[in-house]
Amino acid sequence: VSFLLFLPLLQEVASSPTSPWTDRERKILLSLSPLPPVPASPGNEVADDPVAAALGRALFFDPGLSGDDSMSCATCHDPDKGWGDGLARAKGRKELAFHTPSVVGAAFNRWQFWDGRKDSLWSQALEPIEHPDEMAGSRTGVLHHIRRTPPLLELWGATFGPFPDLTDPDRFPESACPAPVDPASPFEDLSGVSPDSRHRAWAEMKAGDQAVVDANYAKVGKAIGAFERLLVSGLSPFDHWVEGLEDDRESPVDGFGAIQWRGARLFIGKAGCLQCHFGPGFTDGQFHNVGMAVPAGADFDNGRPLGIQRVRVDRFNARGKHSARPGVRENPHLLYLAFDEHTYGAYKTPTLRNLGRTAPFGHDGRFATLMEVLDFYEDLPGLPPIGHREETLLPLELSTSEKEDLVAFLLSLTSEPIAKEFGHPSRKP
Amino acid sequence: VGLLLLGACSGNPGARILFPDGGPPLNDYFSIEVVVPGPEPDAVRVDADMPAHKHGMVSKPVLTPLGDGRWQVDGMMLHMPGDWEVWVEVDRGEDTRRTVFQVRLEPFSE
Repeated sequence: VSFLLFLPLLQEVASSPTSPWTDRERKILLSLSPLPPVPASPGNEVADDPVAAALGRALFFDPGLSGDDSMSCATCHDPDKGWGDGLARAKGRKELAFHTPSVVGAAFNRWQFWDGRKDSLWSQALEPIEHPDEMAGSRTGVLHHIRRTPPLLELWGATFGPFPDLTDPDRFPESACPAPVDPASPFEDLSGVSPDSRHRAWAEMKAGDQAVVDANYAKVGKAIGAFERLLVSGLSPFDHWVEGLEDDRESPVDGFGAIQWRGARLFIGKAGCLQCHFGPGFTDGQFHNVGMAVPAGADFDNGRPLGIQRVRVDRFNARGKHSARPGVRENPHLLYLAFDEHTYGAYKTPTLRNLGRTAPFGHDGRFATLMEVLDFYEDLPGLPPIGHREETLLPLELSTSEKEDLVAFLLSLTSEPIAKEFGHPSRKP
Repeated sequence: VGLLLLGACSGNPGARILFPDGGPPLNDYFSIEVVVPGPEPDAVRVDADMPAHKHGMVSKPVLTPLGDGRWQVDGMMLHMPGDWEVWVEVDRGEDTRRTVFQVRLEPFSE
């Protein structure tokens, strides 16, 4: 194909909010629903194993994974709060810089965390367990806890086979983990000089024993990942409405009437949301600087650049030795990472599904309501403290009633809640 | 598969790009083949930009020479809907020529 004819796009413009959908608008709306099956997780050999998911569920709700038995994954990913925490910023041992995203639908994410420093659900699960400001546990501590908890040990055996012998306390300390990787010097082992006793204990372990622990700690993440892959929204009012559109019998459904209809037209048109929020996940899964940048009170964080550096050196990334499929073909995302000035101050585009249960909003939770989010895009106040704002981001020019329509549409993307009993062996699906 | 709606070429009409069937996908990796006729160039670069956004791709493509003036380019990704320029830049001595292919991606599949 050397020359392709220049074919100007004929954009059909609807004349009024009540006019029929154009062919192009209809195609866009159909592209937004329904959610497809969760994508494969090639690095996780037990991703779709129901027994692994049962183990993962048990681990997810188990405070024994934390350093002082006080916190579980569910402390911040509370099923009663949309599998988030309802706070502006996450709170572990202290308040953190970023908002806790819901784990519902996280299996669709190409990258995990706001800066994308993890490239799989299973490897994401491993970081908060050891983070000193979050669960403050350790990989040897988690494995010892499993070893001493018969129900977990039984599920482990059914999933992965015999549990390793970690009973020698001289070889496998009660609490040991490596110091966090320094992206600036990723090959320097800081464990021996860290003031954290967990890190010093790790530094004193033999390499072979560290490898055994790492291999089994990866399995902890894979089991949790298998459970989290099941946390997928059902149909929202918008999805039900699109079903009718698909069958050419468009009509209001419960939770999607005239106001949401008008909001949908704004969403796919004048408001420009589709630039980043497209597809059934309502996100491109990419990273953008919309001008909020570094969260107030945060340690230095430049957004995506640090995320890129961290994921490249992560021992649990998809190309590492703990990945079930470390090949290039399965993991192009690590091979072609671009690192340029546009990545500074950029954070991940969040999904817009289930916004009715995931307030506050923004990567640092600075917006209490969706109207506040729209007000931000209307004013675009100030300049980002790092990097530059997306060039196409222009002040949103919507009337108050249009913003109300848009908010109503966004809320129509909220599905029925996933109860905390979900996935429990005693509950029928 | 995203939709390739338009394409145009400027600069060095000799360079060609073989896109995947159906055009480049939206927000997913794809490969292309670049054909540069004539004498062996000193260097070939391939990338893509969104001029209106003043940014390029979120991926950095890798070129593999196939011989006879052909290059395999892996790791392309057009991550946003809108107007893109996929370009091939060829150096021969002091001369640098850029061939630009215009691509418009819709936010839906056909």
